[in-house]
Amino acid sequence: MPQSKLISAVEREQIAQLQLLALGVVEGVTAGRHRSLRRGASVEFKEHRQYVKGDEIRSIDWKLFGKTDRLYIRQYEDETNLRAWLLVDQSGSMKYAGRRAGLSKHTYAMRLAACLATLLLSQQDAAGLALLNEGIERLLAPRSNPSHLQALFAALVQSKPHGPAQLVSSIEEIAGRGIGKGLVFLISDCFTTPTKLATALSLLRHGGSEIVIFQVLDPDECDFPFRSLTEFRSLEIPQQLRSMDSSKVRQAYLNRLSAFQRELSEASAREKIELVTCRTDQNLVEVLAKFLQSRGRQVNHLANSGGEARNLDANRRITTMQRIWRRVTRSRR
Amino acid sequence: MSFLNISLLFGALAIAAPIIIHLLSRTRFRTIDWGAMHLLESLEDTTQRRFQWESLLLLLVRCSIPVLLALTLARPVLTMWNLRGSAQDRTSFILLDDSFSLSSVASDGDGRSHWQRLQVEIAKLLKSRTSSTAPTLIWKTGGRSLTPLGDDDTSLVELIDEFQGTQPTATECDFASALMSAIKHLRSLPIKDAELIIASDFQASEWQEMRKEQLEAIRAELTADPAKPILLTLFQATSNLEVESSNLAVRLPEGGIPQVHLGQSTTVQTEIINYSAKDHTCNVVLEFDGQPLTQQSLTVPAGQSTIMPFQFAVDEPGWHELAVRIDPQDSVQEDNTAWQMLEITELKRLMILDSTPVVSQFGDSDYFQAAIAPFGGESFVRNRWQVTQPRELASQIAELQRSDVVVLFFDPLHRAELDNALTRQLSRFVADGGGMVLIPKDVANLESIQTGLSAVDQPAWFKEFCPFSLLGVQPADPNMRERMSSTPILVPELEIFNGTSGGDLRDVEFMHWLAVQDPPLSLESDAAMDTTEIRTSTDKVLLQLSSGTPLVASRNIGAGVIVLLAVSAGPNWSSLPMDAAYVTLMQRLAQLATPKNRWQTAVRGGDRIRIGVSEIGQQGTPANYAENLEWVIEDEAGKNVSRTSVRPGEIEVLSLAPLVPGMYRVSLDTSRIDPEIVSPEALRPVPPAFITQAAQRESKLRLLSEAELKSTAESLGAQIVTSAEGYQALEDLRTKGREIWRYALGLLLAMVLIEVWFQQFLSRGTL
Repeated sequence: MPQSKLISAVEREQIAQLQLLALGVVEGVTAGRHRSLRRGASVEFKEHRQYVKGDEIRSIDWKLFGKTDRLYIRQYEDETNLRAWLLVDQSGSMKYAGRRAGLSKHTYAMRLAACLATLLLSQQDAAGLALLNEGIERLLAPRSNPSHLQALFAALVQSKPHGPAQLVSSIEEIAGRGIGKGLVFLISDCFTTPTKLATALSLLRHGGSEIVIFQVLDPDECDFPFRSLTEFRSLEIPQQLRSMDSSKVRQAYLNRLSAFQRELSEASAREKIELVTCRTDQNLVEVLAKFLQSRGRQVNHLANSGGEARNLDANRRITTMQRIWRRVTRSRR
Repeated sequence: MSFLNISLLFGALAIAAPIIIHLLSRTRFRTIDWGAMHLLESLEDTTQRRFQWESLLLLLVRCSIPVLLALTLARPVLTMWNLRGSAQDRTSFILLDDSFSLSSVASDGDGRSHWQRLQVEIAKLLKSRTSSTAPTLIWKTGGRSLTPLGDDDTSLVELIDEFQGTQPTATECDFASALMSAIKHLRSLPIKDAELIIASDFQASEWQEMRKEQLEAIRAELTADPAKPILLTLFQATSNLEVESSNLAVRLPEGGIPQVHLGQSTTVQTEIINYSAKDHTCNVVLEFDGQPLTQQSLTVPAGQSTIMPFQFAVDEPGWHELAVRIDPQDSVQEDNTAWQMLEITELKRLMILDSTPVVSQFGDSDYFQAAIAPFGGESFVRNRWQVTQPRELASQIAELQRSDVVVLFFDPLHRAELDNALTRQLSRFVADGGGMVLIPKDVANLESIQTGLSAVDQPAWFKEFCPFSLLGVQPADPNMRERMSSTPILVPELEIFNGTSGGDLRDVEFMHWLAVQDPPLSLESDAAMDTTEIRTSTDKVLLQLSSGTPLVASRNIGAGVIVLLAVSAGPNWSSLPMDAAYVTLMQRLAQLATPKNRWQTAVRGGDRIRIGVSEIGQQGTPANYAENLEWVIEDEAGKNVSRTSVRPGEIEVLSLAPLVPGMYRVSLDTSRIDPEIVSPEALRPVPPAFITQAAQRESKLRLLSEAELKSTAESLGAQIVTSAEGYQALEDLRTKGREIWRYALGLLLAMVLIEVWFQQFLSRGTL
């Protein structure tokens, strides 16, 4: 079936916009090659180890044998593409769109995922996508082919958040499928039990993946600016209604939010998961810059604007990114 | 409930405004699709129903505001209890406290006295009753009896005029008696509704003396007749003033100054009392006949009194004015001067009556005469006494009319020696103000005296004028003679025996004496009299032997006094005639018996005072000129206080002493007397002046505290008001009910505040 049949004109327009936006954001943040965690055939020497039976004969360092009269195997760092997974929450709560932000959390998550995908693919890394709802709603395996970006965008544009979140079980399901080692980005509001979420994500981490959570919140959810008598209707379960005086419960809400965030943060830290909380009224560039900044102080100038980043020397930035990722992956190891 | 401005109740229709506003601006719930529902779990739900209730409550609060406003403006009156009839139909009986404590100046700075304040407020009250159909009575409570202002024909306007001319008097008030009298008077009037108003400063000294039983009795009397209950109102126009006032008072001896003789130095003990709570320094000036004699300065400690002695001598016979003044800036000026009128005569006439005169030898009456007139009967100038001892009955009776003192040497066994006619004259003599000294005869036969005194048929004449109970002759222990008691002597006339300048009485040995019952009161002969009063007022033991037996006792009889010496004046009973103290003692006994003021010169305000004419020479007889005499009484400033005529044939009047404390001079208007009959210059009033004494209790200024007054009012079932406006408010309460607009206003303000708070609570603001 041709793609034009599967994607409506509107969606195509949206995809184009998304692409434009992602390119704009990622333009200066092109990624370089990443070191493979596997050791294999490569030009870059890593270390020697003693020969054991079964090792390839060709790997033996004969020069060293001549010097020491012992068999050692030369090991090289393998260079391969990074496999990144974008897990996007599709629960109904992601539909919330406050007046101040002007867009829903889902839209923001979609844009963020597009940016990350663009960033990854621009580095010739492989990026996959999983839309999570009550289960895995859609799954696109990681590829580094540039045309794969279009498929990712189309999947994102076509995604519709709905229903109650089963984020934990969805992640567990992904972990069960064995996505391999790589980088996993979870983009969600995380409105579930933080400890369970962290535990589920830890399954992926134990599989050798590095986990980064992008928690997307609406400014209304952060500030609870309501003053009137309000009937809150659940976006996940429309039958669930709560009528209350917003001004009366505001402080209690904020206290709870604070406790929730603290719990999420602690659970993430416990499971060595990086948590990035962003509001939908925040600039994506800013968010990504901060994220990258946290990965390496050297790119702190990206935090201010993407425009500045564009003017930097591309080779220099790649080198920087490589250095960042290497340090991160080595520390994880 | 009723309303004074009922038309303003229509303002309550403004209740429609909040209702309309409420209907127009009904707030609904705003629905928001929300993601973070888990953060809202277990928070307080506000349901639509609850919101409707809250809105309804707010609506009610808002509706109550115009209603309460209209209610407040309409002046609602609660009429739940039994209302009284109109005050205009009620007889008002004002008991006006005109005691002189009202003249004290309030300490709040406007310089007005309590009296002036009370006067203004009562005048307002009276003016508010000018349209009343029921009578208004004012009785002044000062003095011994209630004094009405005006009479039955006096109009209210005239009554107000008369009331405004009144002043505080020298008196104190007995409110218990005054209230009972007033209630009885009201009961006797043909009225249905009556009110008793006590207008007073409510001095603690006057009100705290009222016992609980008295208060209950008064209250019971007020409500005794259910058909005619009498309202009682306590009108205190002196509230909010300083309760404790500063006051000093000066006093002269209550019993008068001891006998003053020509050319003899006399000491007067002046007492200065400080009633305030801090020490006061003041100048004390002794004035004699209007001229300052001595001036001293002294400090009187707070709450204490100081005795200051002044010495003076009188060189001229006649009436003299003695005044002691202090000059503190205190609350009450009326008690800063004490007066005393002194009558100084050249010689006092003393008659000796001896029931059994000893002719053959120097008898006891001879001892006495030698002591009292040592320079002989004719040497009047050097003696203080003109002594006579007539032997004939006619002479005795005639001399009795002119004598000041009679000394009777009596022997109970020789009853026939004194004529019955003479004994009757003696009784009258004492009752009219004469003095008598009773001395037992110096008979050696003690047994006969004993028998005579113990006889059942004791001589009637003796009982008639001897008020003492004589128990017989008491012999002393032969081994130890009786002597004088060493107790200090307090009687001014005998104080000289505390020292030795008049001879030492303690050297005297007493072998026999008359046993006098202590108290030396003959109860049998005075059964009808109030023994308590006599005991405390006139019955005195002046000197005692060491065994406690009275040696000298005295008792007032009518206007006179009888002094009893329990030993004889001769040498058989004691060594007294041989002692240096004998002369002094006999003279002092005569002084004790001498009427100090035959003409009373010091009275309480409102008391009767006797005024007479002292005729010089023998011109005319009272019958010829008395009806043309008029007595004029003027105060110190020369203002005419009263003018009194006498009845034909009499030259004495009993005049009511003015109520205002001070000295009043008496003069005679002789302009209508025919000089042919009697020379006006020959007629002089006696006493030429008299004193209205301030009541001592009133000098101690302390108003009842608010709590005390409230307690008193509760005991009496009375209401308290402090101003005419307050009284009017009380009247409104009695006749119309209790106005509750203040409460409605308070409720209105509370509702406004509740509305503001409630509105904030419901918080209708949106994003």
